[in-house]
Amino acid sequence: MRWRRKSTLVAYAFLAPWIIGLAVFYLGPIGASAVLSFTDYNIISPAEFTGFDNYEKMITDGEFVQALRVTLYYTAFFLLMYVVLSLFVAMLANRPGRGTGLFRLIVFLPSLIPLFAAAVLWGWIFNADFGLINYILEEVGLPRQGFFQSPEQALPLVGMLTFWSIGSAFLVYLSGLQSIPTHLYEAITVDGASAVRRFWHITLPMLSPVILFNLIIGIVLSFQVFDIAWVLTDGGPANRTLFWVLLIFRRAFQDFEMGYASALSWVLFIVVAAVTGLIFRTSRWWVHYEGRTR
Amino acid sequence: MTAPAGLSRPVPTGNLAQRFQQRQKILWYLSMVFIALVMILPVYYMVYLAFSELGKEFVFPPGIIPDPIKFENVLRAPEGTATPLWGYAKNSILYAGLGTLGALVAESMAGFALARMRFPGRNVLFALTVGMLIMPFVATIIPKFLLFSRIGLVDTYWALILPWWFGGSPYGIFLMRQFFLTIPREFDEAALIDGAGPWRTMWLVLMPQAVPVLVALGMLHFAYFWNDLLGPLVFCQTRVCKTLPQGILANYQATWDPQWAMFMMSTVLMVAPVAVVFILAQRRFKQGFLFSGLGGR
Repeated sequence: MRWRRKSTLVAYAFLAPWIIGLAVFYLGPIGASAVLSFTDYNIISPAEFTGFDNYEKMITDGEFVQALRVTLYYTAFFLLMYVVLSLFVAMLANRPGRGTGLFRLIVFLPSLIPLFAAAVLWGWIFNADFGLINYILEEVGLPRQGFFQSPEQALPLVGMLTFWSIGSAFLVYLSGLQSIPTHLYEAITVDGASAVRRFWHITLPMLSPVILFNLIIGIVLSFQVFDIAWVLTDGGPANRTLFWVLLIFRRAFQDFEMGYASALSWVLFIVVAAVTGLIFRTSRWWVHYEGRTR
Repeated sequence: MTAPAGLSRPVPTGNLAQRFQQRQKILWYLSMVFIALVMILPVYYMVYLAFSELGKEFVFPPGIIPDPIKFENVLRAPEGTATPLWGYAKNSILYAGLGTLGALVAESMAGFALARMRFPGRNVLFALTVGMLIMPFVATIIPKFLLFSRIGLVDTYWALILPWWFGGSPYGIFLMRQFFLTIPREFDEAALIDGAGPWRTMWLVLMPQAVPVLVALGMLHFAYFWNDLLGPLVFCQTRVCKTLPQGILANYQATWDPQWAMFMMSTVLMVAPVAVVFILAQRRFKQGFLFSGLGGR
């Protein structure tokens, strides 16, 4: 026990890399981007303090408003897949029976495909002129669709395709489901409860900490969507897939408006922090911690 | 919630009427088969295209298997249609390999100190770590880019790897801490009696027990680095340190008429090693090896 108490110095030595990392790659940059967001800076000439100009510009910048709308829309889709549907799939995979091992593997497999490659593949499958889906539609006598070329369909389609990336949420749910004690189900089944009630009164409350985890991770992930827009749609058509991060990337590394881009990313950080903070706040109403010991 | 995953048998069906159970079971199987088909189709199509003949990838209606099957694509794809992929692959291996290694070491050290040692400032540090879980990668990317370009690290591997050597990810630290908390403290005390300090206790006593978690976390890291596009896009704009995703995309965009079979084969070859390791590890560590340290919390 002695070394545990002995020296604070030793503990800080263990933590030194992380403390440096925290300062240099997390807290420092977020502070720096806050400062930069009040300047006009293009790397070549020195930064110029401009007050709230960047933030005022943001409000009137149609592209930002569009990016905000598109990203929120996408987030709703993504959370539906990542938090809700993946729970359903995990419950399917949690029943004992033949083939569940293979099923788990198959559900996880698409998540290993890099997003840029998946984007190219989807782009081809849903190609308006030569794609597989339009071929099938035509064969069965349905009208061809625009898909990624259609301003109405592009974003919902991108949202639906996130179904193939639920793998990590699925695994988290699965391990959560497996750690629910069986006796709870036995007790409620003896009482004659239906499957729906078992789900509502046992599965959901027992799983709520895991749901919270997936919800938070899901929000952080979905606000950062980038690859598919970069590779496939380039933000189009008509800016309908202009995601927030794509806008930041363009402003920062193509237009070199580092000040404005910093303001954009700072606001992104604030929004993600506010949304997750709000969810944490409400979590005490709906998250149930069984046997909280710490 | 902290019971070891997989010990309990899931969802008992209870004493419902036999026929009802039977119908439920069929419904369950049908849903599984349906979802499995939906999930596997794009993967199958990708492999299908990878083995198709160049220029004949999109013959409609497509057969069940490509006709003819071009096994030589396996050898042709790495040569690239514009630039060979070997150089990119080397960069990717460096990025993913060194990044994973450094992150695991740093995360274990930080997790160990947060779980096992008592010192002023621990709670603040832990709260900050958890808070950083929600930090979007892009929120810090601009100052990081400016910093790295000032000290001349842009367009070198270090811009990609270095941040991971300093603490790894908050997620990893959190996971390692949670895992170390599940190991009884008697181990530390026994090590102390044998004269081991914290450093040796961690490496010789606790780390061997953490192998499943380290493998799981390492694979998550590796897969992330391996597939990462935004990081290399920002920090590596020249040939010297571009990674596989950039290389494969560059080849794909190099020709006016994209060579689909080669693109898909490159991707399949890129994914295959990671997928094989995942499948083997999943077999090896059966009991929900991923997130085992999380205990569903």
